[in-house]
Amino acid sequence: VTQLLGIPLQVLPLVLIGLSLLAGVVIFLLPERARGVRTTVNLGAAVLKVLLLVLLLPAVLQVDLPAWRSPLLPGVDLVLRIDTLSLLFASLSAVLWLVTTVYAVTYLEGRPNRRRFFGFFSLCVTATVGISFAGNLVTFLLFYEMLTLVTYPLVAHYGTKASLKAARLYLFYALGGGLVLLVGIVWLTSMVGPVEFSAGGVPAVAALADANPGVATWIFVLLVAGLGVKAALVPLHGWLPRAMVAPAPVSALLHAVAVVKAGVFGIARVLEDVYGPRVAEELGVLLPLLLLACLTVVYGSVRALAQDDLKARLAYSTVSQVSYVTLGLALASTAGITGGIVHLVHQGLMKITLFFCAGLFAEVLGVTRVSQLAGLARRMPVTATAFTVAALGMMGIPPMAGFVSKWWLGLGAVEAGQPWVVLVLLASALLNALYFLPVIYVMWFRAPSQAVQEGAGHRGPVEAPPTLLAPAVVTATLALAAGVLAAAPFSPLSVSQIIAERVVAR
Amino acid sequence: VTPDLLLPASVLAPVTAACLAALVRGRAGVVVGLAGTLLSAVLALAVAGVVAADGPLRHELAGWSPPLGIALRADGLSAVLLGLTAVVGTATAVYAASRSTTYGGHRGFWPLSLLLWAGMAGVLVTADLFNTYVALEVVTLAAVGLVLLGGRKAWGPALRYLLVAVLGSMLYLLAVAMVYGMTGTLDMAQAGSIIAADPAADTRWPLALAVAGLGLKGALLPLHAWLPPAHASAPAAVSPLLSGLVVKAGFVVLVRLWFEVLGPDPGVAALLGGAATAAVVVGGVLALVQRTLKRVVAYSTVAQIGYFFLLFPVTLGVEDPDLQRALWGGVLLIVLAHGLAKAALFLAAGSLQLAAGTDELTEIVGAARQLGSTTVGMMLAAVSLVGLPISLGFSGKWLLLTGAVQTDQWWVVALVTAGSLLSAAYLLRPLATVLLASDTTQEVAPVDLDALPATLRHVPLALALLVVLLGLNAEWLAALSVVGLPTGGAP
Repeated sequence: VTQLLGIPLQVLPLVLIGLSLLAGVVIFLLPERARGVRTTVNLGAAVLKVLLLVLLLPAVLQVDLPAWRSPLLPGVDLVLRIDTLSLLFASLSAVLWLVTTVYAVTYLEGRPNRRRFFGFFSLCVTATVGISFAGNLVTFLLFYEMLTLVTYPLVAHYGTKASLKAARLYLFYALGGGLVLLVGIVWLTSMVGPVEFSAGGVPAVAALADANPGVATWIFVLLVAGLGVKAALVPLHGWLPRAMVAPAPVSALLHAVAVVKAGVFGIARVLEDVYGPRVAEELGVLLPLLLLACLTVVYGSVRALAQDDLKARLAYSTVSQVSYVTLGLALASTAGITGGIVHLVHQGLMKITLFFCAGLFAEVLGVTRVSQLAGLARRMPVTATAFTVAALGMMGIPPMAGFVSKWWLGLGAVEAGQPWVVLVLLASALLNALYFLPVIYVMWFRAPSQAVQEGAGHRGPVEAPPTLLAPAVVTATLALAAGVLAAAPFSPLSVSQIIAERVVAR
Repeated sequence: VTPDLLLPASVLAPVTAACLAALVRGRAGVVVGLAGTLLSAVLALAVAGVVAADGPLRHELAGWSPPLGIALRADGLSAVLLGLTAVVGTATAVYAASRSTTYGGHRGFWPLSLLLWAGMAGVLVTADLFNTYVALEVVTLAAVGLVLLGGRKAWGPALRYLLVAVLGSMLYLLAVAMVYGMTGTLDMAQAGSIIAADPAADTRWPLALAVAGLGLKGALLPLHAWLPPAHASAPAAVSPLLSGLVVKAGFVVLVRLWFEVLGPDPGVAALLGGAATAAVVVGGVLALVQRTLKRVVAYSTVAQIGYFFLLFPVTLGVEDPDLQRALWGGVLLIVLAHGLAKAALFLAAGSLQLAAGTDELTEIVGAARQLGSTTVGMMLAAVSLVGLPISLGFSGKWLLLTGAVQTDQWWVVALVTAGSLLSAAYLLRPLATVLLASDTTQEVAPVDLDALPATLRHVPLALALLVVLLGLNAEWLAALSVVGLPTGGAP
């Protein structure tokens, strides 16, 4: 494939990152009124990236590509590398970015400061792609901090007092986490030199854990605590529900692929590719992490129950759902890691659908509260269907994507000798049902509420324009397909299995 | 012609240009000023280049060796700061040349800024304690003159600055006199080796005097009160010179005295560590409560100066040369990053002030929400000042933290971490104010930065981009900064 394109293999990650960066810079240079060109640049870069990644997928599943490196700091290189895990995450972000861009272009139509919005939007995807291709902890940190900075203007986009306040809270949570992560990375680098990710763990880190388990444990705690802020692990989750003041497409990508996923992706890197499951187990850090993840899963669901604001309910649901990934990783069995990593993708597909739909309910009918949703399906049947598919998936109803994740997580729990985790998963599924089923029920089977009946100025069926509706339908379909076709080659599940097997094989 | 002749040339060129610029009138002053700046920049960068390629440079004036003659020299420390002087000096001159209101419209700007350059170059290349005093005085007097260009509101701060700086010079001169009394020479290297060879030498007093004097000049908390009013009331093209360059002069001289002449002292090091910690914390908190953009930036300088003075306590007792290099490189990269980023920020603030007519934070809400070149420059400069990647500020922080962790100096880790959060907080406040405003409430009309000349809009961005790009590969710069590392004269 790459011979076909004539690009040296190791430059590919640079090309993919540069593509988004270039799009961002071009958008900043264009004037505000250049709407057509801006949209073309945006979509062009997004489509091109998806194509490149699709072409790469089969090759990378066979063998990791060579790394691109350049000296960054004394003794530390900037390393960019494509392995299976990075390709999975990059593909998720590329696909979801494409649909979110389509959604955002229409969503923000006619509003001011779109140049700023889409410029930072492109920088945001640059940072996410950089995170996925980072080949060592320092490179990861560069893009991780870049992500913090470029999402701040997106969260604060509306410029109201409330959004500035929420964005500031987000920024300080994220910067604080970044600093803790920095100290952890500095400490680890001081002890064992620059650490390059390698499936199953780095030998030098294993040697450190052997010789000085206390220090290795502290470093692990710092790394995971720093990453845990973005991953919204309780008690570091406070920023996430507040950040909903952002425009709907921003919330969608924050919850599905950008910020929270960067956090759990980092935890995956630390656990699987720096320490390795075996070393982590010997250090005794897995059980506390598992307990923390279980606590977050249950806590997020319980809090979601009490939210009447739809976006707030979805936000607490994210707190809960994203921790499934950490839970799976902390199980450290092949099936558990598979379930964790595949949920990285599945949760993204489902949650972005839910946020797209919530944005449409608010845009079309002005409905933002759960209590106003009654009878909504009569007026917005397609949107309501997409929402229902994603919500059922979140609950883990077979054959949806969420079921596949939970099945493998449960399997992993038994395999890891922690069968009590299955009870946590069941409890969480029950809670998910408790906060999603009533929503679905009233949406479809109740008489329309006043807000639903009188929204949009008339009483007939009303759907958002196709460019807003299509993204939600596409992601809902993908979420469904990821579950139904889970056994197919190149499905998220098959790729996750390959990753997990490589990690555990070491 | 040998490369060491570059040393006297790098001082003489700006002096000559300053004299010429003082003689000519009208537009010719700008032309002479710009030409002199460019020539001086080329010479300064040439010195840095030679040091990077061939190691330290030394030149004895008229062929006379010390103690009879006077020596000039350049090592890694001189090289990186000469480079900083060249970049900040040139950027500011180009900025000033495009509109005379940036320097209060007074033609004295050109000779004074060139004189300031000559003083900086003198401080950086001299190897003689008394010449250092002379060069420091030149820097001070030129800087005070430049503050005066800010008009009536600047007279008070300028006078205070003058008094403080003269007091600082006097204390430093006393320290030099004591060193001369002890050693009979003013050459740094000779005085250093005599003191190092004499176990009975009591360096406590000259060191204390020098720390007090140079702390005053370098605005180390609690000796900082003169700085914010002077830096905030100076004209747009002057503040960057003061903050980017002048505050570094006192620091460099203390580095020379500490490591090459008098030798480190644990008691004074602890004192400096305390002052540095206080500077980062108190300076940061004070920056949080300021009401004008330029005062926020000025208090940020007070805070960041704390990082510079960390050099003395953190290197104390560190024997391993690799660790020494990491700690030195870290602090010097922070110094360099601060100079570039702070100059960018002050230039951008100046542009904004020129366009809006004020820099009161409550008056410029959303002023720059259109997001142009100037505001992007502000944001990138802030990234480096907070020490976030990718920027030179991050590279410096990384090296300093690595060295601190390896020498078990966890208080430095805690301080740098707290300082980063504080700087993010005090920089976010003005940036969020300026950049973001509600789409619905049009409290203040956006400031039309596009009406400014292109130079005023783009120079801050150019400097800020440089800070970011240098962070992409800081290895060579860190290596250059420790060429000919002075690792301590006396035990």
